[in-house]
Amino acid sequence: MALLARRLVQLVGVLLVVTFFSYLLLNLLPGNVAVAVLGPNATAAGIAHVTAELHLNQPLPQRYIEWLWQVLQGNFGESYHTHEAVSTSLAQRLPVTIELLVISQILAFAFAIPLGILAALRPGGWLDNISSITAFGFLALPPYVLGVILVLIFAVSLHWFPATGYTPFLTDPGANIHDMILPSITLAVGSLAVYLRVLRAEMIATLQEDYITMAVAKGMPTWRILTRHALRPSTIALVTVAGLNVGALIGGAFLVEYIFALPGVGVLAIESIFSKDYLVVQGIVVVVAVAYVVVNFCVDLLYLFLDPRARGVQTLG
Amino acid sequence: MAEALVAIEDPAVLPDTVGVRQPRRFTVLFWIAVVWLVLIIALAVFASVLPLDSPTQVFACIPNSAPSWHHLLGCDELGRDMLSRIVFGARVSLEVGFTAVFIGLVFGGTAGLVAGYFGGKTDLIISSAMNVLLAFPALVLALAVIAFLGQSLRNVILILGLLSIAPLARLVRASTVVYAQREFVTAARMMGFRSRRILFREVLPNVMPSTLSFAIVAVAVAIVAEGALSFLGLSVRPPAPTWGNMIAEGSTYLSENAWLALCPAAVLCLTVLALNFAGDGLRSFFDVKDSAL
Repeated sequence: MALLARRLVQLVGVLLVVTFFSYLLLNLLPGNVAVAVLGPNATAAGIAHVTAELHLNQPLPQRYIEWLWQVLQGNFGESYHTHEAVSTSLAQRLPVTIELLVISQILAFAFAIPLGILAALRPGGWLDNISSITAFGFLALPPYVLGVILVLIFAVSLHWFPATGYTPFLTDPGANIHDMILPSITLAVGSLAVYLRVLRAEMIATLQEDYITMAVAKGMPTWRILTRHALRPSTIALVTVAGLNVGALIGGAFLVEYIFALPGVGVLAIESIFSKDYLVVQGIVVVVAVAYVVVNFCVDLLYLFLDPRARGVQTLG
Repeated sequence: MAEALVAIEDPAVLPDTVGVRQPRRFTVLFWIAVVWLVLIIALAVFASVLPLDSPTQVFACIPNSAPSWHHLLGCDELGRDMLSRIVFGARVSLEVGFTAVFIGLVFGGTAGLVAGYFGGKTDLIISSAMNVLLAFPALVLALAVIAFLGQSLRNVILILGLLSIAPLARLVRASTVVYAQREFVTAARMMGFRSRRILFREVLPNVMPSTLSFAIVAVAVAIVAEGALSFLGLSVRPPAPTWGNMIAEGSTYLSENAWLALCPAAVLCLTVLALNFAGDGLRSFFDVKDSAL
């Protein structure tokens, strides 16, 4: 419990730092922030209004605290182009991005776990060699290349899937899944390669442990040894890497949304960058960075849960 | 960037190779990778003296024409020479990749050396700063900084350099900690050498090989990241060619002429693959564990 409390304090500290840096982004704007936020059509009245609303004439620490207080209440300001609250657009876009992330991770694990186990069973065997080489190749395929190739094969040539487009899940679940297949595969491939390599390496190490030899000597069936005795300790590394991978995954999701024209947070971010809708960009950065920190915090907790040693050390110390 | 680099850390040594003395030799793949890299770098460096049409010259040849003797990789939808665009695109990719990682090496490497050698409070402060840098998803931070700072080659290099500081610092710190406890460092300390001399003359040369092989892989990561920014239209502005914006432009003509997207995509992937192989090859070459000392 003491450990949990310390982690929570750390989490709050990191969140404060991350939100502060997200807030500082506004200060990177050249010239007067209010003028930049309003764009070329800024009027004197508008500038005065924005300056008051963003507390721009107050010292930085105070501005940050005022802003953070608003953010904590879910108020990220409003777009100066569409006059829509940033929180409203985020709420509309987030489900698409989350769906994409979840489906891609399910796909990645569904392929990486069996392949990793089988490859580790015979290191240097044909399956191991093929999967290692493929994984190495996949690592050199960024989403914007893989996405274009998949669109070319499955949308342009074979007409199996749409190249772009999105149907909300509640409108038509079948069409929604159909639209999400290509984007999810595009995003899954990178994670798949990473997970496969990590799980394979961990499994090879685990399979050399004495208790595995013991289980073999007892005459346990191989599949049972692999799934019950070897997989569980090996998943610890897998979980850690999956947590570290989230950052790359979010970046990848932005690109995939852009390629397949999915109305997610990534496309919103890119549109807002081009229309110089700075408060929307800032809102997205805050939400994404906080989500990333919180996910990694949860992975840390999961780690404690999965690995009894991580808990044991703490009670002794 | 750290996330992408996780993948590169190699799996455990195979059981049947442990303890077997392996000759230190580079594989054929390593040499193929080196040849490709030399070719790309040479083309990029000598781009302006090569007999190429300007990469932005429209109607230099018939739009969408297939590869021919005068235009080795054919022409794009505006009749611009593809080879020339790829070669000039290589300039952007390589410039961004190498400069960004150089920034990462100078700042991250120094921070890692200092943190790993002195330990204690110094280490705590530097490591916390690095953790803050790693607390943002890399591409999102890059997008945000470009959005607020403005879009230019310099800003792309700056942000990717900033992003490569933390992973390199972590790596250098980890290997510095190991060497700082070795006998020759203790001996140098006993002889009364100053810390700066010990760091640069005793520790640095030992940390260098693993750092450089990692840095080569980091260049690949930076090139992919620049590609992503160009693909989204946030790096060098068109019509100046980059591999990323060529892929993006080509992808709108997939049904008419898929070559326009596939050609730069293939060059980008081969370069990334070559950098990964080169980094990997160098790493196992320098790896003391593998050489069975």
